Amino acid sequence: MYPPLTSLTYSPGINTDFWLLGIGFIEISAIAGAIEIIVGVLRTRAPGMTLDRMPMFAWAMLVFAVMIVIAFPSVILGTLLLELERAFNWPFFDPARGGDPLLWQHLFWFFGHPEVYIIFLPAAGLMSMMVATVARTELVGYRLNVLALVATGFISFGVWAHHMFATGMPRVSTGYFSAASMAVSLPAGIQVFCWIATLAAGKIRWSTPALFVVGSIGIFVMGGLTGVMVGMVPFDWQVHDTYFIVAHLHYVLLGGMVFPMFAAFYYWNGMTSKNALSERMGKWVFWLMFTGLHVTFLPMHLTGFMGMPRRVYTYLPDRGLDLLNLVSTIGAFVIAAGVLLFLFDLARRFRFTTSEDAGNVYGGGTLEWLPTGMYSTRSIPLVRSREPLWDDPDICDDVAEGRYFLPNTVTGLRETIITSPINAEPQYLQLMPGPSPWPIGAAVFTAAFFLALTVQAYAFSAFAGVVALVCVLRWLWETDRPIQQETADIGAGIVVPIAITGPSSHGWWALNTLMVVMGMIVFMAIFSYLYLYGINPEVWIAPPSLPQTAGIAALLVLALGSARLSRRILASKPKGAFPGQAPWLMAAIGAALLGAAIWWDWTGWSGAGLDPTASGQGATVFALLAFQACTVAIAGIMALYLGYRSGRGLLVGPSNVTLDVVVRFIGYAALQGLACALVVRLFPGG
Amino acid sequence: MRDYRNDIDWLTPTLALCVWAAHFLLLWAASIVFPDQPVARWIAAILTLPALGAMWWLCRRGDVTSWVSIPGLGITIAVVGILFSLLPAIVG
Repeated sequence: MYPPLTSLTYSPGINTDFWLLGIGFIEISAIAGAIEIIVGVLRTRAPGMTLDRMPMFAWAMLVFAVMIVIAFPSVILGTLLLELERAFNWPFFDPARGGDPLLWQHLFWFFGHPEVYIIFLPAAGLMSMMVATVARTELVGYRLNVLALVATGFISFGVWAHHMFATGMPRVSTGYFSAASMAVSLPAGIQVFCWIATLAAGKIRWSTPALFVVGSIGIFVMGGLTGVMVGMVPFDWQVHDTYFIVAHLHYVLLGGMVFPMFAAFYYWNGMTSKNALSERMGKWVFWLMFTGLHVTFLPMHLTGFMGMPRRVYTYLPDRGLDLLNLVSTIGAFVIAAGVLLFLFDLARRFRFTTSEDAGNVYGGGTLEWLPTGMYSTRSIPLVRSREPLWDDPDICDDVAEGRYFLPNTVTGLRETIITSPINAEPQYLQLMPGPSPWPIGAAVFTAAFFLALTVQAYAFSAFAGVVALVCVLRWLWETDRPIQQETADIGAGIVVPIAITGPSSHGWWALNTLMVVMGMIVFMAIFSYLYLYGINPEVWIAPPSLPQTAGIAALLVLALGSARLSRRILASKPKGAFPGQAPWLMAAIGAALLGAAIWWDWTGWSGAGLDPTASGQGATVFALLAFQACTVAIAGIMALYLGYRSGRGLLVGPSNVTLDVVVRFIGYAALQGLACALVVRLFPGG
Repeated sequence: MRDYRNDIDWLTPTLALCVWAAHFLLLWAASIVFPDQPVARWIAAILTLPALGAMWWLCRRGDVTSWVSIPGLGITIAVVGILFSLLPAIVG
């Protein structure tokens, strides 16, 4: 999908648009999921499950979700810019007008390489859980493993341009990425040694998951070693775009993700199926896949060295490639045989159930094996160790008989305990949304909005967007319900408040994470602006006047002040008192000031003669302005929603979740507006 | 049952890796702004000093009993990363 091949000239029709909007849609879905995971892992753990007792999979998912929040905005921006270029002729990637095709590669690979670890880390978390069970001992180096996950997450953001060694980057730049590519093998190595040490310390029971776990370690190490080889620039130049890379990536992904997923399927299948899968067939599946993998991909290292390019459907005869490619083809059929045998066993044995499952076949020690029905456990246990089921044999019975927290509903509604992020101490009772048609309506019409855009059915897309918005707001209406009961006894004499606002609330964390996502989009857009300036400074024009910039900044600072004042007015009221319309009016004034600022900013640039179709500068500046305009529009809708709730008397002092969310979003929009306006107006300046 | 202390200093390794990230991005930015010019290498060398200073400060403030502790190992990984990043500027 690299420009210029994906420009309208070389890819006419809607195929590319379909792909771009599809990618954008799925990335937004992934980000929404990541925010859920971050807040879920940090705020809804069982009481007593401190960070140091958290299952490795939960750690892996936390790092994975944070990586999504940082990495995915880059590809959202990339797809958005390419779509803007195709739809409106804004030349982000057209070098003739001050754009640069390599900008796409930077934006894509800033997402693309961390994505490899985003695929790998959840599987690594599963591996750490399964290794302990198959070896019948605690994971060796639990804390080192956590450190390795965090370090992998960090360093994976310093390797994106190793996919661009052949693009002619400055020599020192390639050196930096080469160094980081080798450094990332340090934390990966720590994890592998922890797994090996665990297997060595325990007594392995050679079940099917054990075979897949041990096999995946070997395969992943082989892929990792070739990864260090291609991290070296001269070597990469030789094998770039050859079958050596195909072999490397398959060893990494099959060893790092596919084999662990097969192990996990066998391991956790008993949770939802009446029957465990066949151990005998499972061993056949493993050996067929393991053998097939090496027969397929090991020869590809050689074919790559011999010059066989990737992404071709055939090759010339008499180049010495025939035999090795034939071996690879045979290996692929062997892998397929293993997968078919797995599917056959699945069809034969898997029977979905919520009550009569096969259970904890391999003897795992973590909480997912507590007895559950359709709606999770009868009561929420107090966690005292990393493998509670191994350390407390009675815990299953105690949980099932409701001897722990929240055995019954306190308020008559669905509810869960929100705990503190580090020590998992109960903080408050959160009321969960009940059954409702509105979420499914929101999901269907959000999908319709994006799908209609892909086929350029703009009128229907607008209609679907409005309906999706109505569904979301109607759904939200139920989530911030006033409730008479102020506190709840959740068990063991612990009394907690019901639904709170501020930094202790889970909503505060979720909104902060969303702000990080939006901030990353702006950060990458500003990077694009500066990058294009660095490539083609001659097409840059002077920005509008400094007094105008100061005026816009003043409006945005006033908007920020209005948002803060709104919350202060509400906070000054006694509990349960209606503060009148002042709080929401202040919020609405803040949103209006944001609107005035973006209008002034937009018309200022237009007046200065900047045209989004004329240059890379115009395209990036107006892309930033368009993003800010969308943010302001959302802030405006939120302010109107707040006004409607206030009009119905639902906004009472001294604090309110809806108001808290709305004014903090308005405040964020003001800060984002300041960043967008000041950077492009002051740099590079006149 | 083991006593799972919750006094692990996770902040120190996280800050150490943040320093690595900032150091890496600044070095790369310098190499893009001054492509194939010696000034990019000088900037790399100069920026490495505060980065290593920050590591020293983290060692002082954190619960770094030895390099095999979690904070110690986190700092070690970050220092190796920083020195690795400097290497291309010196010999590349």
